[in-house]
Amino acid sequence: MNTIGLYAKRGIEATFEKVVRAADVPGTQRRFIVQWSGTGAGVTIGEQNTIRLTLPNLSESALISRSQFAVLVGFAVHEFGHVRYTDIGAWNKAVEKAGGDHLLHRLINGLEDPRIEQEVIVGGICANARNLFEAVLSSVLLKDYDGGDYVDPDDINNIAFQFAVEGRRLNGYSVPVPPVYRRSKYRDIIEFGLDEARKCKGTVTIISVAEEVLRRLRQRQQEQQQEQQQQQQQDGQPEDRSDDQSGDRQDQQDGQQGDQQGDQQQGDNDGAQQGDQQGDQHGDQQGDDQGKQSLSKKPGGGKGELEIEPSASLFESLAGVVDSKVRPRVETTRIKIQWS
Amino acid sequence: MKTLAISKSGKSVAIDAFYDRIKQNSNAFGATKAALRKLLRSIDSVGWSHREESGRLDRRAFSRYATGDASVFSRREYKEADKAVVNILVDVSGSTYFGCEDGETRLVVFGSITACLAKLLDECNVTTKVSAFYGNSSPAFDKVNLIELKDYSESLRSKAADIGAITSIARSSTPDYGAVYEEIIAISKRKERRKVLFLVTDADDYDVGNANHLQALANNLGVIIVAICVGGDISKCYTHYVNAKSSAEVFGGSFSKLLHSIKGAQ
Repeated sequence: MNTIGLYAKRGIEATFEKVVRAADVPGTQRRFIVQWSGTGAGVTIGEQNTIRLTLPNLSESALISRSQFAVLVGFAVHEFGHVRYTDIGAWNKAVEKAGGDHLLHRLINGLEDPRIEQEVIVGGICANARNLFEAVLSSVLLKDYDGGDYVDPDDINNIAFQFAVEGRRLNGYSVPVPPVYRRSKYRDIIEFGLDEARKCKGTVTIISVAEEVLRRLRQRQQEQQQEQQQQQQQDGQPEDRSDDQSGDRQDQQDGQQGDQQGDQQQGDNDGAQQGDQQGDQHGDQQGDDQGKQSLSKKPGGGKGELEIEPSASLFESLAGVVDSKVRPRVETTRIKIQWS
Repeated sequence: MKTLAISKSGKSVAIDAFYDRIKQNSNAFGATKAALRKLLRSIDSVGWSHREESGRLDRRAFSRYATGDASVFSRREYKEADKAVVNILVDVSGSTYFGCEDGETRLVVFGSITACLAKLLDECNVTTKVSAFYGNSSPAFDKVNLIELKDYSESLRSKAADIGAITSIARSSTPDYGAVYEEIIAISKRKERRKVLFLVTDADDYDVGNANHLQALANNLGVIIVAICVGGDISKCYTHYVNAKSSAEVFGGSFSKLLHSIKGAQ
């Protein structure tokens, strides 16, 4: 059953208002604004405790399907969940402390999303929150789903995405794709992260779990690379590495090998290497950035780094119902003629 | 609600103007009135329900009766009358002071069209509201001043002076998007099944994209927009339109044809 954009907008605004009011601590009335503009989406907290929800500019004359409506409301409630239950300050501080590590940011996000959604459901601030969150998750997962793995299980950049999906599965959602982490070489770390995150009561503890997961992932990578090097040395066949390897792996290897590799190795890695001193962290950052630039899929097969936040795929799920033009805002004054 | 004060001394003049305008065009009313009636008439739908087990014997069901079927009766049933509601929205922006080809200002022609339409709709027993709009317009913001000349529940006789005073209330620019938008939303909330919005305008400084958006919105809300344009061209803006140069032309053949075509398309 479809509704037109005009009513969909009003329904979303009314729902958002109800959720904000239901979640408010008595005596702290928040102001809220729903802004329909452009193609982006998100929630910001401004001055005077104002919550601004930005959503794509839905066309008022377009027909909005029930699933699109559910995705929009679900997204709004999810974002409000962050406002209500996430300690953004602690999150930013942790990422800053780790030198702006993108992977840590993603891991925190992947673990935090299922937690805050569970808080919204348990808190009872939105009656059918679970159904709405399921709609959002399905729209993200089924976007380019071809029936295979929803993500490459061994890609370190997608562990955060797996946390976001599997954490929601543990919340009891009906997830339309089978899990893949059991076939991952990081299975034990993913299971550790999921188990620990289930016990967390706030963002601060989620951050410590994410940091521990990151430490274990780095350690595992080092071990794997050491094994690989030993194998190569035993075979007596030095690997001729090409320049198109990911920055992540190259930096890891560089960090391990350092100067011991000699001039030949250094020469091979020119162009992609950031040097020994910059270490693993920078390498990961570079690798992640490359993944982002290549959008959702990396060349060479398999799924690339997938966006955790539903806002990334929101616009795609609303294709055809977003108004490219901003219509004038209308203010009406009604007047009666008075014969005097 | 704000008020717009007009000197009481002008009231009788406005009433006279209202009836004079109707009188001037009354000879051209016949076809238009018939077309309007067809478009907007409310019919008590009386239907027959067949295959009933009691009621009046349905002779056409005898063949089924022979095979042992007991549901061979029919019953008369009454359905809710198919009612209509109409809003007339008149542009009274500053540009309507420009003249038409017959020497009158657009505003005077608008006054004639509005008075005649209101009279015809009254004769057709259709619930009608008449509003006029002016204000300020920009790509980002429409400030609409909507003058309510006649509400649904008010009689035409009691509001003749207000409708007749259209020629003395024009000012400012044309917030056409905001005004039509407001009227579409307002009429869409009415319980009547058929909803028609007559827009009387000169289409001065119209944004075609915004008008097309309003047309799509009206289609989805079940509102028929009939645009009557005097001194301009509204053909790219709305689906159902008539471009005219005088009130006589409006109530000539083209308008009746337009109404027939709308009826046919329904």
